[in-house]
Amino acid sequence: MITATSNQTVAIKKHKPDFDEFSLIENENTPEVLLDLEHFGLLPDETINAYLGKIKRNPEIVNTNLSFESKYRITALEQEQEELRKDFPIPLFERPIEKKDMFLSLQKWEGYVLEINKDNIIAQLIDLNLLGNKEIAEIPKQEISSSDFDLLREGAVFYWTIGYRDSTSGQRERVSTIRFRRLPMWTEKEILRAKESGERLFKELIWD
Amino acid sequence: MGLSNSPPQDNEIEVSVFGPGFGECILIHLGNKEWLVVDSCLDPEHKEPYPLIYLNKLGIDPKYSIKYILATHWHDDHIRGLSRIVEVCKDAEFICSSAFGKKEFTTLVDAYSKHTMLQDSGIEEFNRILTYNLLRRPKKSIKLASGDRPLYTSNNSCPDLRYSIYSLSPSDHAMLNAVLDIARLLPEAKTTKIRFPNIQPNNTCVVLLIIIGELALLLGADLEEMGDPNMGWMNIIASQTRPAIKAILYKISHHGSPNADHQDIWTSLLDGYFHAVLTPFTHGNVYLPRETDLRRIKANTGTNETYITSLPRWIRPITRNSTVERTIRESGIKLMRYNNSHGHVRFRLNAKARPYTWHVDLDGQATNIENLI
Amino acid sequence: MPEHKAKIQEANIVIRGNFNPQIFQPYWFGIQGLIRKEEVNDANVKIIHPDIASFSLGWMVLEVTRDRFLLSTSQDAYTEVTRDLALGTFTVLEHTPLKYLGVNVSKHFEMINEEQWHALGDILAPKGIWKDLFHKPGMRSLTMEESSRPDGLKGYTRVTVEPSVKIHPGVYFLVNDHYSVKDPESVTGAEEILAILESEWYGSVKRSNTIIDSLLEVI
Repeated sequence: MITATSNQTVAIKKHKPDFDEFSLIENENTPEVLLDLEHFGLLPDETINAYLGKIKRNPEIVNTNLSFESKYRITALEQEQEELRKDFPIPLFERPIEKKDMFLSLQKWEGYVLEINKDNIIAQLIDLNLLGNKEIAEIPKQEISSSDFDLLREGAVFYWTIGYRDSTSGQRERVSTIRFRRLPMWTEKEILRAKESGERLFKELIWD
Repeated sequence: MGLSNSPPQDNEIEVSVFGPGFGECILIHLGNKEWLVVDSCLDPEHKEPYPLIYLNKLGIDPKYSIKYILATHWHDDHIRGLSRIVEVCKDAEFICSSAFGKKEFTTLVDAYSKHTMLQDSGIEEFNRILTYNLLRRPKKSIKLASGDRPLYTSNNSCPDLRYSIYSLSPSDHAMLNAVLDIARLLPEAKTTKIRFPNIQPNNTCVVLLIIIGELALLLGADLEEMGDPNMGWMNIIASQTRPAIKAILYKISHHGSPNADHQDIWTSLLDGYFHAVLTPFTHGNVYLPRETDLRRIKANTGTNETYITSLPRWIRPITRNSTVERTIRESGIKLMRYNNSHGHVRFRLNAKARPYTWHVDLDGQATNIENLI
Repeated sequence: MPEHKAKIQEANIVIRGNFNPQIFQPYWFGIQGLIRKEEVNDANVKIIHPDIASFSLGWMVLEVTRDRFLLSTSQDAYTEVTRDLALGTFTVLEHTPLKYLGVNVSKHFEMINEEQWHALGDILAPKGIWKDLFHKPGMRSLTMEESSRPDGLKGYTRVTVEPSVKIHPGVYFLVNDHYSVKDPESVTGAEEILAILESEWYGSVKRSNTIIDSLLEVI
C-alpha cells in the first residue's frame, strides 16, 4: 500500500491528460471525498498500471532509485507491496497511452422506428446538432447491421452518425453508422415500483 | 407575427388557432379578459408555448388572464409546452380527459417518466403537470372531462358574455376502452424498452362545446369516428343530453382526416353559416389533410370560410455540410423535414352585436383552403 | 477566433462505488444483451481478475476496479452508446452501491500557430505577474471549479485547460462534471446515480461542450 504522510503532497501528474479526475489528488486539505484519505489506499490508476505492468519511471521522481526501475519492470502481481511502500514515498506515475480509433462526427441524429416495411424502415429523427429540427427518414434495411435486426421494432431507438473515422493505422474513412439502443429489459421490480408509485400519485391528487 | 397586437375588447370573443405544421393550440378569449387554452404547441421561432408568446405580444399577462387549461388528449402534437403554461398560470383550472383520472394512467406516466429517454413529450408533459399539481397546488383539483358534462359556467351579469363550457366526450364506453388501452400499454417484465407508443384510435379525446351568450364554438380535438354509436362522433350527435345549440365556429377534428368525419357533424352540430378551421399534421409517411380531404371539407361547409393554419407538407431538409449530404445520398437514405412554420388564424367578433360576424385575420402560412384546392 | 474542431476527443463516465470486477467480462455483457454477440467475440481483454477487469471493444474501453467503474470512448458516434452501456450495466446490477458519478469530456484542439497557442494561455493565466519571478513563465495547467452545481444536485464542475501533449501547438480541455448521491455513506444501490445519469447526461455533455467552445472563443 502506498502511503503519504500528512505533510507530503502525493500527486499523480497528468502528463497524459486523458485521465479521469479520480487520478488526481492533492494533499489532505483538499476537500475531495474521492481521495479516500482515511485509507491512503492504492489509487485506482496505480492498481491498473501495476497489474498491467505498464508503470514507467517518471523523471520527476525525487528519490531516484535504480532498483525501483528494475522492480517496476515486473508486474505488481509478482512483487511485494511492502517493497513498493518502502522505496517510493512520492511516486509519480505516467499512465500509458493506448492508441485508439478516433471518430469525429459531422452530424448525429437520434431516431425511433415508426414503420417497418419489406425493404426499408420509416423513422422519425431528432437532429442532435440542431435540436428542434425534426425529420423523417426512409432508411434501406441494408443500412442496418444484421446484429441489430433482433432489436428492430416500432418504437425502437437508434443513433445515426456521419463522420470520419481515423484508425490507429492512420487510415481515414468516411462512415455512416446506425446503431440500435441496447438497454436491459423491463424488470418485475421496475414495473412493481411504477405501479406502487403510480397508485400513490393517483391517490394524492384531487380529481373532480 | 403580422397581426395587429391590440388585445380584444372585453365584449369581443376571440378564437386563435395556432398550427405550425406539427402541433395545434387554441386560445379563446371568453370575454372580460378571461382566456381558455386548449392544448399547446411551440412557436417555431421562440420555442415557447404559443399562448404565452401571443398574450405577451398583446400586452396581457397570461398568469392572471388564463383561467382554464385543457388537454384534450396526450398526443405529442397537442401537448408540447402545456406544463409550462400550467406552471406560469398557477391559479388556472386544469382539465383533462376522464380517462387520465385513473391509476392505470398515472402508473403508465410513472413507469415511462423514470426513463427519460423512452418518453415522448406527451408523457413527459403529463408527468410534469401531475407532479407540479401535487407539489405546488396540492389543494387544487384536476377537472375530468367526459361526455355531456358541464365543466364551468360564468355568472357574468351581461347575458351576451355569460359562458358555459361543456365536454361532449369521451363517452363512458370510450372511456372504458381507453382505460383498457392504457393498461395494455403498461410494460411487461422481460420485454424490450422501446419508446412510448401512441394508441389509436384516440378514445380519450375531449371535444368541447363553448356557449357564450347565444353563440357556440365546437372544438373537435382529434376525435375519430369508428362507426360505433357508443363512442366517437355518432355518440355525440345522438346524445339527448347535449346542449341543442349549433356552433358558428368549428375546429375540424383530427386535421381533416376522413376517419374523424361524419356527415351529421355538418348538419346537426353546426349553424347554417359557420366558419371552420383546421391544423395540418405530418408524421411518418402520413400528412393531413390531403387534397381529397380539403375537397370533402369544402363540399360540406358550403361556404368560403374554412381556413388552415399552415401547409400540410414535407419540405426539403436543411442543407448540411457537403460531406454529410454526399454520405446521405450514397447511403440511399431519404430525408424530409416537417414543415414547421408559424401559422395562426384569428377569429374575432363582437358578442353584443347582431348578427354575429367573424372578423378573420391570417398570419404566417395560414390561408383559406380555397387556395390549396 | 475561427471555428475550431477538436482533433482528439474523449468522453467518459466514471462511477465510484463498490464493485466486483470479475463480473465485468465481455461474455456477461453479451448475455445481458448490452453489447452485440460479435463484439463479445472480438473484445480485446486485457485482464479479468478479482481486483481489476479491463477490456476494450472497437468503440470503448472499460476498466473496473473494486471502487471505480470507467467507461470511455474516443468516438463521438458512440457517446450515447457508452452512456446506455453504463445505464444498462447498473440497471442489471441494481444492488451495486454507487456513490459518485463523473461525466467527463476532454478534447484536444490544434492552434493555428504558437502565437495563438500562447494567446489562450495569456488570457487564462496572464504572464504579467510571473515575468519578474520566472525567466520564461508558461501555463502548465489551470483548473477552475464551480463548487455548487446550478442544477441543485450535489457535486461540482471542474474545467482544466493545459497545453496539449498530443498536438503541438495545441490546447487540451477537460470538463469534469461530478455528481454525488445525497448520502454516500448510506447508499445501498444504483438507483440514485442511474437517475442522475439518465436525466443529466445530455445537459452535462452539452454544457461541457459549451464551456469548451466559449473558452476557445476568447482568442
